[in-house]
Amino acid sequence: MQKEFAFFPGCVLTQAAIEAKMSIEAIAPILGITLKEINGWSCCGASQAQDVDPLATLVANARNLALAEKMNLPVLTTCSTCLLMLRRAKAQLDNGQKERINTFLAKGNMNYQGTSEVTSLLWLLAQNVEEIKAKVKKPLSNLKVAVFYGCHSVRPEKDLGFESSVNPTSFETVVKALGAQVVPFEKRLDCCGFHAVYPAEKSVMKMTSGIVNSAAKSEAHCVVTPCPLCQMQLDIYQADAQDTTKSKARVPILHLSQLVGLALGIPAKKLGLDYNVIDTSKLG
Amino acid sequence: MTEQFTRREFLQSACITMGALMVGTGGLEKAYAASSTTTSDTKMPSCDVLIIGSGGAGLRAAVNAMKKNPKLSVVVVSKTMPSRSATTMAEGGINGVVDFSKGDSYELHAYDTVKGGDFLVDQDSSIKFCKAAGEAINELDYLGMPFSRTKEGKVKARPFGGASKVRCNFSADKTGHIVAHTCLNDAISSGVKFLMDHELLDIGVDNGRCEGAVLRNIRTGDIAPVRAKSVIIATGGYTRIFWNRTSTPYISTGDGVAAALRAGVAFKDPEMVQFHPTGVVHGGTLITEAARGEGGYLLNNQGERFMKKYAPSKMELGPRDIVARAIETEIREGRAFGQGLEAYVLLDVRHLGKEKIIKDLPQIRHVGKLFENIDLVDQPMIIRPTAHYSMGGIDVAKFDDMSTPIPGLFSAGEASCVSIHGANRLGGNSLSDAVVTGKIAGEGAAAYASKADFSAGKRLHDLAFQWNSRFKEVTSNSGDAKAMYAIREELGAQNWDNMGIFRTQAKLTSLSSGLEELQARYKTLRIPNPNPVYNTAFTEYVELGNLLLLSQAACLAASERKESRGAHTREDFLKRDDANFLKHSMVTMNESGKLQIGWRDVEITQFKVEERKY
Amino acid sequence: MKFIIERFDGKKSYEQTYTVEKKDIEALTLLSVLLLIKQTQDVTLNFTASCRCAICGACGVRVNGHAYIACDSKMTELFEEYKDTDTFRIAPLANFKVISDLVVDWEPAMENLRKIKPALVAKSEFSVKEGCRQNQEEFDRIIKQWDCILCGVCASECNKLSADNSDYMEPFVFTHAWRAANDSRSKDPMIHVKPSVTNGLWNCVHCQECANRCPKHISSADDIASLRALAMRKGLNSGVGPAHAKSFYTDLVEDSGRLNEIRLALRTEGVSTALRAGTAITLMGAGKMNPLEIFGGHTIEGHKDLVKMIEAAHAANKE
Ligand SMILES: Cc1cc2nc3c(=O)[nH]c(=O)nc-3n(C[C@H](O)[C@H](O)[C@H](O)COP(=O)(O)OP(=O)(O)OC[C@H]3O[C@@H](n4cnc5c(N)ncnc54)[C@H](O)[C@@H]3O)c2cc1C
Ligand code: SF4
Ligand code: SF4
Ligand code: FES
Repeated sequence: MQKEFAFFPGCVLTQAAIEAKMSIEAIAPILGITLKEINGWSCCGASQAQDVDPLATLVANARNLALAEKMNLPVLTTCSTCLLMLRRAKAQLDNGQKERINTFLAKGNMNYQGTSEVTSLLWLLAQNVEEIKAKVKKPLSNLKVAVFYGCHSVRPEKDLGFESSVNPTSFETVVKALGAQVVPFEKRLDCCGFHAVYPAEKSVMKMTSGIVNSAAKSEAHCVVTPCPLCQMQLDIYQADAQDTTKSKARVPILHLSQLVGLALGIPAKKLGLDYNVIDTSKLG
Repeated sequence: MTEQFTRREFLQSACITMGALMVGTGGLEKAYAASSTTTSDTKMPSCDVLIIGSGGAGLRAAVNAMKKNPKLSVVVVSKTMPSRSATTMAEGGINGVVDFSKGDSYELHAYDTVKGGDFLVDQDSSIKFCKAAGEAINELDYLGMPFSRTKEGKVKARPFGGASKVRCNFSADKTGHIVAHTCLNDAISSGVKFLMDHELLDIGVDNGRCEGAVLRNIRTGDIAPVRAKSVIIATGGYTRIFWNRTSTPYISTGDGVAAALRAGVAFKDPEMVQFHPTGVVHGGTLITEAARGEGGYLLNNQGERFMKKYAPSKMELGPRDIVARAIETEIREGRAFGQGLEAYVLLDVRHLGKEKIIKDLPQIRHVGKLFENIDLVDQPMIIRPTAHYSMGGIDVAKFDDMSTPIPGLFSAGEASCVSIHGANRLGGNSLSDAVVTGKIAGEGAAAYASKADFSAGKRLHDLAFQWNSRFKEVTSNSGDAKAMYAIREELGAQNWDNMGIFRTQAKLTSLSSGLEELQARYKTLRIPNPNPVYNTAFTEYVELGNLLLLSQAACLAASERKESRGAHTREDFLKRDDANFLKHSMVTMNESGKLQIGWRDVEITQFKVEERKY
Repeated sequence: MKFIIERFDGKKSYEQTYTVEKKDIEALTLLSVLLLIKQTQDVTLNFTASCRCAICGACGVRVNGHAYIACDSKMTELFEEYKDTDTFRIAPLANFKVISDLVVDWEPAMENLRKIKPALVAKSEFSVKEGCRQNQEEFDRIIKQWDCILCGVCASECNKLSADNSDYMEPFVFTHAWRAANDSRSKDPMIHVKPSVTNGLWNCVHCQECANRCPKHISSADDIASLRALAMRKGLNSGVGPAHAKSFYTDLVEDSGRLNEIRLALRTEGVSTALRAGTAITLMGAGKMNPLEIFGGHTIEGHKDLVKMIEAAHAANKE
């Protein structure tokens, strides 16, 4: 397995999803992965900034990629939206935009070449299930997990391309490798609504609630997602969302890295499980 | 009427005086049961101009009828959602002279059209048509159609079969799709009202005047008469008589032509069906002429560009009938690949280069992959002819307003025959036909409706009653659907084998009795689905009835036309016979439902009738 | 091999299972399979199709919960996509009213198209008689969106429409607005942009389903993003949506270079919005957010350079 990565945490890992950062940093050494945070990385635009200024967004991401290239390392991120934005930028740059954008990067003495690939924690784990299996200390055999992919880890397939977007399997494979049971979960490919929580609040709350209820219906002990934005949406807004639809169900929402951490035997506190808004104490 | 039209609003308000007839399922039937013989004209929905069909022709008709007289209520009826037409399928291009700098002119376009049609074209219509076609190109551009462009930013044209100058304007290889959506956008923005999922069953003609049409609301199953001051039939062609051996969509079942024939209008030149040389071997879908226009080669099993034997100067760009016959001859004489129905020749575009194929022929490349697993970039496509276009159609008496001989009844597009295409249509002329004749018919029908009153609708009422009874009679919980599909398959095969590219008296005689036998079987068909809601089996049943009728008309005219002309090749009469057949065949239906043939002289104005050589 | 088809006869919904031999359908398209079932097993099964070659848009259906156009879907590809399956579940497009079996109602979608005035209104220098002028580059810019065949696949998958269609439109409607607004021949893009804004432009949830499933590889999501940018450039920038998008941008360019959740909430909805303030408090309560961040977090290393780069890009773009 590729061991060293230029780590792109993404904005939320520094603040609202600090526990994602804690847990990924906790599991990495055990899995033999070295994460070197990219110095001076900027926001990827979060699939929003392009609504204001697509060019600036592309420039910012070209710079992010160029920073990783300087480190001579492939990029790894755990946020699916960052993954999409970076991969898209890379595709645009590699398909004809490189020269033009490089003239702008030159203003800060930077240059994009196209040497660093962009991958995600989920993909990395899926490519190395056997190694993970070998490292599992506490198989999660009693844990029923609803896996929630989140849009930008599979869609659009042409930008992500790791696996089928209508029938993906990477996440199930990883969760099963941790010893957990994957429950059938109708909404595993739905959208959590995060990106429109402000403008389309009513709809988004309905979507969030639908996902939580679907997980509850399949009797999952928790929902796990590789994307910190989905995690935030389903976790932080869960109470509000359930209130708007008058539903009682509450389901803990875990980051993929937290679930991995549990199976590796890392204490809950180190994984930041106490930062999760919906109580996770029964899981750890 | 508000801008936002819904079907319910049409039924409730635009229909002027609707009463309880169409509200709710079953209402109609009950109403008919109660008043089976008496006509109460206040109970019939109506509108001023009723347009049947939403291809290029129907949509242009609607917008222009509204423009002509904004006070009129104009409604477009379509048996599908409006954009599912044959128009969307056209790929190659749309003819019209816009560039006069290289010696092209409307007259030259008209001459090519007349010659291409083997002089069966009405020359007065053709010259008017070509002028209007040139104007239509700029109009489409103005309406927002994205044409491919020249360096000067003008509409781009490509060479096309049978044309002496470059005047086939295009938009990549999706020209028809782009035309259709340009027309649809315009219709939507202009506030045209649609009655989608409604099917024309019959046209009411009483006292020699068109009263309106009988429509079936496919969604509910309600069959109702709709009165209209004028009706435009723009239902497209009838090439589905060859069922699976055609490039046209499933909707091309000639419903409007059949209804007009039953209503007393002549079916003109029904035997004139164009075979496109390059159809996909499995399924008949089209590989457009653009493939040859852009420089593709036709090769036989010796690797030879065999068109040099048949059209030495034009080669692959010879007119369709000549190219189609050439391919069939190669197949018959053993210089093709495959056997029997699976026989084929090759269409090779590889030498054009990957970039050009991807840029200019993407749709064709896609079809190759979908149906034959062939990527045209790497491999030649396997092809053979397929039925493609109906030159014949509803007899239109006057190009200037596209009126039929029956007052109030108009026709446009492929359903009509005025006759621009004669015995063989030039590639690229039918999209222009659809938009040009559609517009003229819209204006003509609006002008007529502005002066006319509604008629009583007695015949309409009777026809609707008959159709309601027919639905009840034909559909039930028992019956055999397979029998219906068997008839349809056999119809296609028999027409193809006997009335295909090469015809003889013996073949046509045997087809005639074959068709009678199929008709007899059709009469006893029962459809095992009594549900009125979106009963597509009943739609197929109605369409099959139309196809049978139209096949009989075509067969009659094909056996009577004892000459070879354009697409009509009689192996027992290989020569064109201007002395006896410089005439349109006119098939009509008499009182007892029997088909009869008559003839009408071709209009000859400025172009001398001569041998057609390329 | 089983095909479970979701059926509706006008009154009741039910499922029906049809069994076919795998070898009989392997070489077919999904449309051919449906035709086969109708013609040999059950003539009451209803669906629509017209062109059979992916251009008329009539044959959209869902397979195992995802939308496809049936005529353009080869069974071999579906077998590959849904590994090991011996059962396919066929359903009508979602987010449309079902009329019968796989047939859906297009009327509301057509009415939405009406709202954005899909036809071009040409600049006054052009005329019906002379047509327009457009260079190849301007043509290339819009032609992708002209591939839309109104198949409804994007609408079927749209998460926003599924949640609530009362303040939104089918993704292809925005694509139609985009292509009219971005046509170099267009007199005024706002003819199409304004009704887009008032009919939900800012409500897209970025789920990317439309872009992912469109058989013509159109990304309505991108068109929506682009229409938003256009709307803002043209001054249609009031409201929650524009403020939300803008705050990401502000953080990226004007402030620290990174996103600040609390500022995001404040910028988007203003200080007084109880729910969002509540969210921020939830975040702080869970110990996730440093309340001091509200006064501006740490600026990223090299932010000045980033700003320079973006300024250079803007300058170049203006030329
Ligand atoms: C594959 C293909 C490629 C082609 N390429 C070219 C080309 O390159 N250049 C060119 O000029 N021409 C081409 N053509 C021909 C051209 O597309 C058609 O001739 C033309 O578009 C016909 O237009 P229309 O409006 O008359 O009919 P259509 O587009 O067929 O529309 C008919 C309409 O009538 C409706 N309808 C039918 N029956 C009923 C009924 N009973 N009740 C209610 N509504 C009904 C249908 O739903 C449809 O909306 C091509 C055709 C095909 C099939
Ligand atoms: S990205 Fe937006 S428009 Fe596209 S499917 Fe998702 S919510 Fe709908
Ligand atoms: S945008 Fe794509 S998926 Fe949506 S209707 Fe158009 S062609 Fe179909
Ligand atoms: S049948 Fe026309 S798109 Fe499938």
